Amino acid sequence: MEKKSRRYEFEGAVFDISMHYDNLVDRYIEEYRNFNEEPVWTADGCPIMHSVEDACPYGEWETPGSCNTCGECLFFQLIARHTLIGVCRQEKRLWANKRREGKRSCKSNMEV
Amino acid sequence: MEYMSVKEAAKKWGISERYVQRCCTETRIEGAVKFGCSWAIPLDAEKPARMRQNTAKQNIVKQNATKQNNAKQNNAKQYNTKQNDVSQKTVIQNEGKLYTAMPLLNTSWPPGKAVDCISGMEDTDARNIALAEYYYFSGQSAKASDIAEEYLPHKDLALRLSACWLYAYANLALDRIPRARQAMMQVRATIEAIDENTPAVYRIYTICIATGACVLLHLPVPEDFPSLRECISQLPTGFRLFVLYLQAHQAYLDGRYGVCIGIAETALALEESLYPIPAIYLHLVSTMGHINLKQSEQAKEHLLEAWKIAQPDDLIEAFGEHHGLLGGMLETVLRKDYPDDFKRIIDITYSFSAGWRKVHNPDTGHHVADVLTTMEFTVAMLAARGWTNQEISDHLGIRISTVKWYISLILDKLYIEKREQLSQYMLR
Repeated sequence: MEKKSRRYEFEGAVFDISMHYDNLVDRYIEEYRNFNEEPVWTADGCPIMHSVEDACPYGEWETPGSCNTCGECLFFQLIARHTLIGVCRQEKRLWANKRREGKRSCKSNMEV
Repeated sequence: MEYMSVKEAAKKWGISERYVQRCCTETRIEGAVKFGCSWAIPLDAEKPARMRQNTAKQNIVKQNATKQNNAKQNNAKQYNTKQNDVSQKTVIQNEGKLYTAMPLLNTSWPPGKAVDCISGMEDTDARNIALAEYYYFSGQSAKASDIAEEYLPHKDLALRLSACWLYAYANLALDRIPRARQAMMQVRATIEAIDENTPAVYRIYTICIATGACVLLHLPVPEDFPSLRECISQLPTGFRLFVLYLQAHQAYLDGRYGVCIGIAETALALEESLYPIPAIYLHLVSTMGHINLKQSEQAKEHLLEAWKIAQPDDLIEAFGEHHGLLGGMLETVLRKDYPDDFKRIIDITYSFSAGWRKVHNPDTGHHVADVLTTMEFTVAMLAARGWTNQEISDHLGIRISTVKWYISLILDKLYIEKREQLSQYMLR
């Protein structure tokens, strides 16, 4: 299967997403990247994530109880029209708060 | 009397040897005699007419009259007491003979004996339709279509309806949509042509088959169709069980999963002897109901029971037809232990669902996704019904990161941003 990647630059964060060609839809589609294992943050400290991730306890919904992933959360905003990758604007998930909680597990590209 | 061989007859009439043999088997050549594996055909025998030509209709009627004289004494065996109650009150069609629609579906046989059961049928036409049923339900759609096609113009309504049903669904699986539509239109036309001279049991068959076509394609049942509930008690056992499956399926489509399970499990409990085809469908619809109530263990039991009945006779078509509605149970239960059968089921799923969507999507305006693989479709169905990533992971026995990977692909392929939009593209 032919592969290529797409580079994103969003609010100071830079990262690559690999893509593969799908015969059924006849185009390249992005492969899932686990942002929990390899986190990426904007310059303001907002986490970048995938809309399919399970929602965190701080999520808020337009219709409470109907959704269980980041994609439906009011704090989540896609970074472009053609992707499922977005940024979380929930204050409690900012990098500063994360570091304060001492739950940081991986080195982010914000530190590079 | 002088005879000629199949080869000589084929040359004389300008048709294939295979077609001559088929006509001999179907007793369409008067005086043909079987010697070992071949046939001896009277030199003065008439060339058999092509069934699908207009002139063939008259020929069939003529031949039926001859065959029926020999078969009349056997007719009674084909009907149970309840059916006789109906038929006695009705005007007899086709020179006194009433056929059972979908004879194989209406027959009880022990698992593994389907072929013996078919070859034991005394009436040639019933046997041919039963064979077409067997081919269809065992995933051999092309063969089913070939046989059914011969019976599309048949005078007898039960044989014609059976042929229409089989021809329509076999051609869906073969991606020959115009043919499938043509057969469905013929069923509709049959309903409109019903009058007071139509035998009661034939009227009921027509209603059942037309309603069944709508339910299984997830099309709305026309309001002017009589209710199935009123007909059930008058049907022979096998057909009655299949109609109960249709009712359970309709309850499922309406989101009444408890009712769906109730109907199907009650029908199975009341089954006095095993009617394999309806039993498989009833177990599958029970599986669908249970999986939607997140009752995985009960769903698994029903699926295994269906498989136990289906496997000895290779009746795998129903599994392929229902794949999308079974919520990953085929992957969970069959993939590991029966990899070859599972692969065939998935092949059936692809071919059947492609045709199914081509009829369903434009007719209902509800666009069921056609760009997903079967595994993606399974994950998407579960996600659309509110299953969490963790629940899907536990149910399918795959890692949670794999579930997320699938969901990501699905959303991307369907050009949607949110999981809650999935239901627009899934089966109901």
